Amino acid sequence: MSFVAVIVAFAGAIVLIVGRALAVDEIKGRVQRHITASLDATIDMLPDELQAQWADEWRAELAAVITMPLTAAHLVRGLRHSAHELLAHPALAPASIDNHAPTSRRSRAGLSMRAQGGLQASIASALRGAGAYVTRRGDILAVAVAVAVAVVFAVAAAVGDIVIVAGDVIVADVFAVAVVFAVVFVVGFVRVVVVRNRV
Amino acid sequence: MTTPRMTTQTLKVLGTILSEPDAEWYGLELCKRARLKPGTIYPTLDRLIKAEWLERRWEDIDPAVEGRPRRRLYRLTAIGAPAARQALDEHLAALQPAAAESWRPAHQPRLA
Repeated sequence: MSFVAVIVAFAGAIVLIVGRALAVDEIKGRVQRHITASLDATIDMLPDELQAQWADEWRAELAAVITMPLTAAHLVRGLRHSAHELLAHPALAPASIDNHAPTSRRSRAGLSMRAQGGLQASIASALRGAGAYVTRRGDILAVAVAVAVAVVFAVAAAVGDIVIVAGDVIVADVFAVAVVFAVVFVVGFVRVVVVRNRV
Repeated sequence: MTTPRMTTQTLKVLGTILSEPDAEWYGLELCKRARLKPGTIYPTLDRLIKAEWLERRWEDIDPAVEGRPRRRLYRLTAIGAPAARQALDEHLAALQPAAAESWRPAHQPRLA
């Protein structure tokens, strides 16, 4: 019985490790794509002259940090601010229809309606992202893996509790192994998110 | 050629570049060394380029060999190096009396 429990625990652990790797890769890929799309949108709102000056440089800077999601997101946020600053340069401000200076800073900066949308654009983007998230097969796999992990831990915890109460040390070992791998899972996640974001 | 507006950020960028005046810098490196955000650094670099204090070029590497994209490198021009040093000196000189004033004990009479 003890031998079978150990085999089951290790099989479960392997499934967990593979599942975690798949889920992490999936999420990382999705975050990277989102960040890249965000930079592309920032570059698209610039006039051609500024795009020619900055697009390649900014894409190169992002490519250097794209594997570090937090740093990359911070960079893109900064680049969006840079784009606004560059657009605010008086020489680039478009004249209004009656040749008077536009009153709104965003209008003066010549930003697109999408950029002016601000909160609405963010919400729409988030909803589109959420819709895409559940319809992609890879994401369904990631969610399935996450649910499976949760179920395994819940069952292990329940069985462990029952058997501990019953005084059966063997299956309690399964619970202990599950706890150890839960810790490994959490530590691995923290390592991916935090350690890899050090510049 | 125009003289760039001397903001704190501009002075930080110039001070960082002048710490190694012959070196070539890329944007993110300047951000880290000058402790500025990316949102600040590129407009500042743009102003310094327009003023002809900085020049830039694409890094001469093969991205396939290096395993990373080419960076755009910035360096001081022949005009920019002395002008930047002079601008920094002027701002430091302007700050020194104020700094000395703030450190002068209350009981000590002002000289002259």
